[in-house]
Amino acid sequence: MTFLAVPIALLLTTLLPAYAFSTNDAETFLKNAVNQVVGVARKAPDTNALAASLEPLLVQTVDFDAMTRRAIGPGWRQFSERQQTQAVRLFTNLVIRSYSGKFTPGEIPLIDYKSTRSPAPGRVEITTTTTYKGSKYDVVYRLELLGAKGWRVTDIVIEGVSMVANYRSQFDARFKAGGADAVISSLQKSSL
Amino acid sequence: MLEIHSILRIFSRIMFISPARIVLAIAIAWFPGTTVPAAMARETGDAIVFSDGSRPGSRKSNPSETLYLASALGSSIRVDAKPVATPTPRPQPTPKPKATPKPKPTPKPRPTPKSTPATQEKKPEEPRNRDFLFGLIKRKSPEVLPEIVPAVDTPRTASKKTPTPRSTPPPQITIRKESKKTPTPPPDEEFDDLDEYGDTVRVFDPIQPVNRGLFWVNHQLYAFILRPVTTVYTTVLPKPVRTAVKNVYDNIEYPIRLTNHVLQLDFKNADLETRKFLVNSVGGVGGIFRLSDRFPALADVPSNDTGQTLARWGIGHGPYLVLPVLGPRTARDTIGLAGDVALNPLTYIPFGGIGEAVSLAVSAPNTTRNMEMRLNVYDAATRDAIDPYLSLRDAYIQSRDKATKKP
Repeated sequence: MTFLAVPIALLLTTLLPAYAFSTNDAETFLKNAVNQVVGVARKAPDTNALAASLEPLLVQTVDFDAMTRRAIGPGWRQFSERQQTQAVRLFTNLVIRSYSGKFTPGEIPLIDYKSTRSPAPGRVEITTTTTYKGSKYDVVYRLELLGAKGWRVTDIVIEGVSMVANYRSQFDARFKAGGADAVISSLQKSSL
Repeated sequence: MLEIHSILRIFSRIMFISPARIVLAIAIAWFPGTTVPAAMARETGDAIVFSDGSRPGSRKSNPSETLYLASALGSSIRVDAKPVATPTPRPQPTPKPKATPKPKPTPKPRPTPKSTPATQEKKPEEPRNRDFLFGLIKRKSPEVLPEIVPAVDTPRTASKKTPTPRSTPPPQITIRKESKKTPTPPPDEEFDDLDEYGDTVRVFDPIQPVNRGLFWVNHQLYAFILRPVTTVYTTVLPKPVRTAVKNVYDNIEYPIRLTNHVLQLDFKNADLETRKFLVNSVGGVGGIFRLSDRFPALADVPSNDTGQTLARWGIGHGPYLVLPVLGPRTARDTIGLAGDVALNPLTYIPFGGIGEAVSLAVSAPNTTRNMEMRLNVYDAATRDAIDPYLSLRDAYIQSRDKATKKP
């Protein structure tokens, strides 16, 4: 059996760093993105300006395609191509507006990275404690490795409340009531 | 005996069901193998409709309500559909051999018999979460999730496959207790990327119209009365003062957290909570300063309440309720709230005479502070929502599930 030990040890030593490397990658990616967002938030004079300046940053960090697809669920297959593009665009705007609305100008969040775990290959969940305005919140970032794009955030879970899951049930109700058109018109209504 | 009777009566008021039926539900929950001779229902929109057209939780008499009550009591039940005459062809066989009907050689879609036209016409081929009975059941990990085979077969992959014909005769429902040692194998459907979040939030919301009404009332209350009051409070008192008020009340509410840590047999946190109380009461001058934050071990002691204890004891959420002013709750957390009030030292101050004024004076800042937090949560959940009611409801359920599932 000893003759197997060396190849196995070799295999492990080559595999483990590769694995660790990929989760490390996700962590550095997220830390970079969060630092940039905090930097932008610090300078922005008000929420509208913040949304405008955050948009290019968030588009590079968050995979809005996957987010929209999952928020809408299996009904997505019944969306026409045009409706899909429209839904992604509207949902992107909604998320950016909602996210920038969480910042109060002049308040800087303190982020403490707690743990990183990988629930499945190519997926990483990074748990943080965010101190904001004197209160502590558990914020979990879900990241996914998307081929050439690299790591992208696909969901943010604040105090156990997943953003995608929360929109999912709302879209579900709309979809059942009136299909793709109802989903899109509800998105349009909320972006007014 | 009197107490049991009054508890039953209160519970039956909440559930809109007679006390006799609650007893029956307990019997079903605790004695496996009971067969409910109910003509099985079909699923629509967000509730189940029985073949006589009634909904669970409605005042109309229906023996199947006991099913819901049984699941409200936290038992894992399993419903097997046993078609009597014409078997339903299904895409994949269920693990139980006797519940598996033989698929027809050529499954041909057959028109649905118009036996119950009122319930049959609404969206029959909705691919939907099959665990519709489990709004009441505590969420479980996927391996031990009891699988339900509804009588009317609505496969999730309906959009891709040929529509399945329905079984005509009313099937028998057998309830038996699911043992945790034999987990049902996960349904061997292909992993659906789009449906990843399909099971995240499951809410039993039988009185949604009433809840939506109260949600609207609360919205007006918040907008016209409570928000102005809170704004005055936050403007008049500077931030350090408000933090001190918050700290003092948090400190006084120590018995709620301690009792519930102990009731959950969580002695580690009970110990930490006690140290925190002592440090803040003595070093922090009656809790004005949170001195405990200086100690890493005491900085993140999780909060606790009676609703969490009930959850730990295996009691499911129960129906979702919107309470006036207080907002989102479930039946379980409403009962938990009563426990918290009983454990709160602030409520020991006697009412009547001078005591009443003192009681009001003591609790007013706390009420306002809670209102401030409640409004923050409310705003966060509803501001950019497509449907604010659903958003707040699901956010509440998710955050309660997270609080219960401590690391």
